[in-house]
Amino acid sequence: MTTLVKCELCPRYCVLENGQKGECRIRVNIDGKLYAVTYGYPCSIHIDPVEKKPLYHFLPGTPILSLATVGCNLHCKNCQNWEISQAEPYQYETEFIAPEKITALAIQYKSHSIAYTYTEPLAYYEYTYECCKISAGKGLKNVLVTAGYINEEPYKRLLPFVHSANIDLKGFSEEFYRTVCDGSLKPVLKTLELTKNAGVELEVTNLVIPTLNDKDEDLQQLSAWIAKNLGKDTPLHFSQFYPRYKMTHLFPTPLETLLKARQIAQNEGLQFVYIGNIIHRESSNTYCPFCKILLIERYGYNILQNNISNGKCPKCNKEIYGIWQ
Amino acid sequence: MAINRRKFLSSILAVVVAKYGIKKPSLVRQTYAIPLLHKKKLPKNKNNFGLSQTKSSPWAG
Repeated sequence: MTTLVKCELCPRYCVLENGQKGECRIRVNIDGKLYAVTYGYPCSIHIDPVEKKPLYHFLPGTPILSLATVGCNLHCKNCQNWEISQAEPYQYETEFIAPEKITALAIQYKSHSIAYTYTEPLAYYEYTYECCKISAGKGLKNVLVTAGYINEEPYKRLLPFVHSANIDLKGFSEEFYRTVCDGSLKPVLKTLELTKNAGVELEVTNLVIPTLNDKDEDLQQLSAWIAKNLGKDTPLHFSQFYPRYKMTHLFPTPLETLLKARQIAQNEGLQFVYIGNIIHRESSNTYCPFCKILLIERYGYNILQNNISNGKCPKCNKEIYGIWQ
Repeated sequence: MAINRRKFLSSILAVVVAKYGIKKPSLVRQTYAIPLLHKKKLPKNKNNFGLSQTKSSPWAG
């Protein structure tokens, strides 16, 4: 008799027949049991600057071991990493790397933290979980770069081993999530709240796509929700869109649109609003929200100066949101 | 008395199931997946980590 498996990791709740894979392509029903077929098989592993994640309030200027397996439970038409996020596991020839080895690699390459990134770390959940648990036990810090499309129970199980997260808030309407990402907004908002409430250092990224999520009211509502529900100290990154995957017909986001978005978010009271994927020096710097002095000067992914001292502004001595050492 | 359409169809279906042995598949709920460990060939092009790699994209992430 056929045994169907219902995967309850994410809000898709895929029901799989024998041999069938989920929407993420990497969770498969084999003889009535759910298997993670990319567990231990990263397709990408690099040392990146932490600013690339982007994290601007987490150990500035440090290298971070960054890895991913193929697969994602969303199918964003604009995906920048679609070659791996939308790939099938067999398309990339990889070698088994046990979670213990990931920790050892981070230590070997003098990285104090590990980022689960590039594709969707919550889709390759079991690998992320084991790597996080082992590396946290060795004193390393763990970073999720995620779209946050996961159910509450498995996410809460992972959070104790996570120190920082950059979560994509891709738009602020159900319609955008449905038509562009093949997902829904509500679970992402829940993930954002869970992350902040768990005491994880949280930064939010919104990729601004011309004509799709760049209206003033979209940006205002998104910013207001963050200010109200996550706190005005939550760093927000507006990233420039580039034509990729199924959205090559659109132009890159103009700088003016990103600067407008930043202004709108600041008007909503957000204290740390950045623009990314583009070089614009003033809007990639961190300023003290209280006395307004320059705290961190950046150029691209490089730190030119960091004046934060023991997590505080050197002038007014107020605490600055983030993990600084 | 009017025939209850739903009851009628259910009774037909019950007869068919009884005769031909059609069974409803069982459903297992699983949140956490079992790692599937399998051997793969080592790649030809290796970087420092011994992996075949996609390039790190120029964009944030």
